[in-house]
Amino acid sequence: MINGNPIVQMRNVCKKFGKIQALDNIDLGIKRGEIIGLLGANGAGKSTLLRCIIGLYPADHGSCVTFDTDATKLTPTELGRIGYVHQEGELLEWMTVKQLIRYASTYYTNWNHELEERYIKDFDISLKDRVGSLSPGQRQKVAILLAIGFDPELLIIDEPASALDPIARSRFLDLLLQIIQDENRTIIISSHILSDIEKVIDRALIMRQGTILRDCGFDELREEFTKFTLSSLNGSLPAELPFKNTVSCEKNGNQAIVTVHNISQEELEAEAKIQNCEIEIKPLSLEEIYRIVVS
Amino acid sequence: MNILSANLKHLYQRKSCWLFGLLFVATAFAIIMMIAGVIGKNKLGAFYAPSLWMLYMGVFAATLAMDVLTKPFSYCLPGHQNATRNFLFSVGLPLAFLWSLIFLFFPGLDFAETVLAHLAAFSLFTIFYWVGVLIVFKFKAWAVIVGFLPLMIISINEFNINEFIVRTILEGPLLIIFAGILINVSAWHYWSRSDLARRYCGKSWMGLLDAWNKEKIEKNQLDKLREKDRKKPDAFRISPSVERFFIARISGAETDNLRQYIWGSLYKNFGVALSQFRRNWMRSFITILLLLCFLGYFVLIGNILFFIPGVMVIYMNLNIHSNLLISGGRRERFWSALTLAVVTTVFATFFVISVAAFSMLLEPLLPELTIKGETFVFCALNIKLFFVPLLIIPITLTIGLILHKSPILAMFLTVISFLALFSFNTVSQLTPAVSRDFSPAAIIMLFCVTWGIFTAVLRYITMRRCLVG
Repeated sequence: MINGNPIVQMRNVCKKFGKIQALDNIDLGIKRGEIIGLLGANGAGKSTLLRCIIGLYPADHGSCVTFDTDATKLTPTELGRIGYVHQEGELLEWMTVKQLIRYASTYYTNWNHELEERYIKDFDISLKDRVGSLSPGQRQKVAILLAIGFDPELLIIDEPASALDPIARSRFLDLLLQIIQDENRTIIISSHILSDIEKVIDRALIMRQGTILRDCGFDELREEFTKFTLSSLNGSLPAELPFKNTVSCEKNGNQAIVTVHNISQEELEAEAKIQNCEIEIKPLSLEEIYRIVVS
Repeated sequence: MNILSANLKHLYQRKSCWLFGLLFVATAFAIIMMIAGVIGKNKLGAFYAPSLWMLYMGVFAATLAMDVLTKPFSYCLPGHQNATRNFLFSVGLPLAFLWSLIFLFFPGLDFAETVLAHLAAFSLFTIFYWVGVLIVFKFKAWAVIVGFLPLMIISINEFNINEFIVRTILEGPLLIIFAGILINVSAWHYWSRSDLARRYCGKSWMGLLDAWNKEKIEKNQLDKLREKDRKKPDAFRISPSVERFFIARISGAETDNLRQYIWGSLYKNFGVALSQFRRNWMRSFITILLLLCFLGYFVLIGNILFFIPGVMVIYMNLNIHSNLLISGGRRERFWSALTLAVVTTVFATFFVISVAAFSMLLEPLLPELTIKGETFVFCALNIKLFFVPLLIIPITLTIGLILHKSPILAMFLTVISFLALFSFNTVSQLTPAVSRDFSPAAIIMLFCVTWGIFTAVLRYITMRRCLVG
C-alpha cells in the first residue's frame, strides 16, 4: 500500500561528472510501498540517481532527503534500513561465501536467518567457495542475499538480473514477488531486462540524459499507449488511417498494426466500425512502451 | 594499418610506456657515455653493458606482447597468428643491430676482426634479448628479473663477467654467431607456433605496466589464490580463530555503530594478513632475517627499510570508496579510515623498530665478509629513525587519497618524493655509520603537520566527495 510522506524526496538535484551532466534538475518523491522500475539507456543517469538516494554521491545542487535525513548525512540507523544491490558487484573477494554472509549479517540485528537459509537452498549457493572465484551470476546471487537478508524497508536494486541465468532470473522474480508482499517495503529496480521488471513494478520512471522523461504509474503508462491490428473487411485499407495521435503504423495489404497515444479503447472500436474494419487490441509490453517514450 | 604497426603502436600510445621508454633512452645514453669514456683506456669490459640493456628490453617487449596475447579478443583477430613473433623480432633485431655498431669503435681491431666482432655482438645481444623474452613467456617472472638488477650488476662486476662477455665476442665470434643464428631461428619457430594464442588466451597476467592498476592487481592476487586453493585447499583463507576474533568484536559492538564499523574495517584489511602470518610466521621471520642481512651489509642503503612502509601503503584500501555495505555512513567511513591509517602506522613503526633492534643484536655476531679484497661489515640499522614511518605514511596516504583515480600518478609522485627524500637523507643523515640526533621538537611538529593534512583531506573526501568510483 502506497502511503504517507515520501521516504525519498529529491528537489532540483543536479550532478555533473566533468562535462557530463549525469543528473539534471531531478524532482522526485518516492512513497513507502512503491515498487518503481527505473528505465533508461546506458548513461541515462540511473545509477547516479540511486547513489544520490543513499548518499554515496552528494548532489552538486538541490537536495536529496532519504528517511527524513539529508542523504549525505545518513547514519547507520537509516542506512540499516536500506538494501542495495550494486552494478559493480563489489564483494570481499578473499572471503568464502559463508564468511562473507556471516560478516555482513553481524552488522544487522534483524538479519533474517530463515530467509538466508531458504535463499541459499533455492539459489544453489555454495558456501565453501571463495567469493573471488565465483562466476558473475553466483556473485550476483550473493550480492542480492546481502541486500535482502535484513528485510530492508527500502530495497535498491541496480541491474539485479543481468548476470543471472534464465532459471535464476525467474527464481529472483519469484523472490521479488514474495518480498513485495510486505506492503511497507519500497523497491527501486533499475534494469535493462524490461520483460522481468514489468511483472513487479507499479510505477515507471524513464530517464534520458540525466532527466526524467516520464514518471507515472505503470498502469497509467500502459493505458496511455494502445497497439491494435486493424483488418479491413472489404478490400484494402484507406491510404490515410483516420486515427489521431498515431505513434506508429505498419501497413500490409488489408491489415495494419497501429500504435496510438491517449485514445480510449471505445473510441478506437467506434472508429474501426466506421471504417468497416475489424480491430484486435493487444497490450503493449514495457519494452515497447519504453521504446516509444524514448524515441 | 597492418597488424604489426598496430602492435608497435603500443610503444608510444600507452602513456605508461613513456616512462619506460624514457628509462631505456636514459640508460642507453648512460651506456654510450660510459663506453665513450673507456675507449682508449684499458677498461673495455664496459662493452658488455648493451647485453644487459637488451635483456631488459626483451623483458619489456615480452610484457607488451603478453598484454596483447592474453586478451581474449586478440585470439580471434584475423591475421593475428604471427603478430607476437613479428612484434618481438621488429623490436629486438633492430635494437641489437644498433647496439652492435658500438663494436665498430672497439680499439685495436683490424677490419675483418671489427666486422666479426660486430656480427658476434649482434648475435650476443639478440641472445640476451631472447633470454629476457623467454623469462617472461615461460615464467611470467619479470618482477624477479627487474628486482634483481642491482644484484646482477654487482655480480657481473664482481666476478668479471663483463670482461668474459667482451672477450668471448672478440675471441670466439664464430661460435657466438652460430649460437645467435641457432637461437634466433629457434625463437622464430617458437613464436610461430599455431597453439601460441590458444596457450595464453585469457590467462591471468600481470603486465609490467599494470603495477599501478589496482583492479588488475587485485584480480591477479585472486587468480593466484585460486591457483593455490587448487593445490592446497584452505591454506590461504582466513583462519577460524581470526574470523572469530573479529566477528565477536563486530557483533559485540552492535549498540555502537562506529565501533562496529571500525572493527569491520580492520577485519577487511588485516583478516587475511593475520591469518597468513599465524600460519607462516617462520617463513616471514626468515625473509626478514635475509632482508636484514642484505641491508646490514650494504651500509648506504640499509636504512631504506624505514622508508619502505611509506611506499607500500600507496595502494592501501582505506574502505572509503566502496559500495559493498552501506550500513556505515560517511562519519563511520571517516573514523574507520583514520583508525586503519593509525593502526597501519603503529604496526609499521613497531615492525621497523623490531627489525632495527634485532639488527643491533646481530651486529656483534655477524662476521665481516671479504669479497675480492673488499670488506663488508654488518651495520645495525639506525633505530633513531623509528619516526620515519610515522611521518611518511600519512604523506603517502594523502597522495593516494587525492589521486585515487590516477594510481599511476600517485605511484609516480610517491616514488619520486621517496627517492628525493631518501637520496637527500642518505648522504646527510641516514647512513647507519653516522649517528646523529634528531630534534624531537622538529619530529613532533612534522608529525602534527603530516597527520593534520592527512586528516583534513580524509575528512573532506569522506564528507563531501563521491564515495564510489
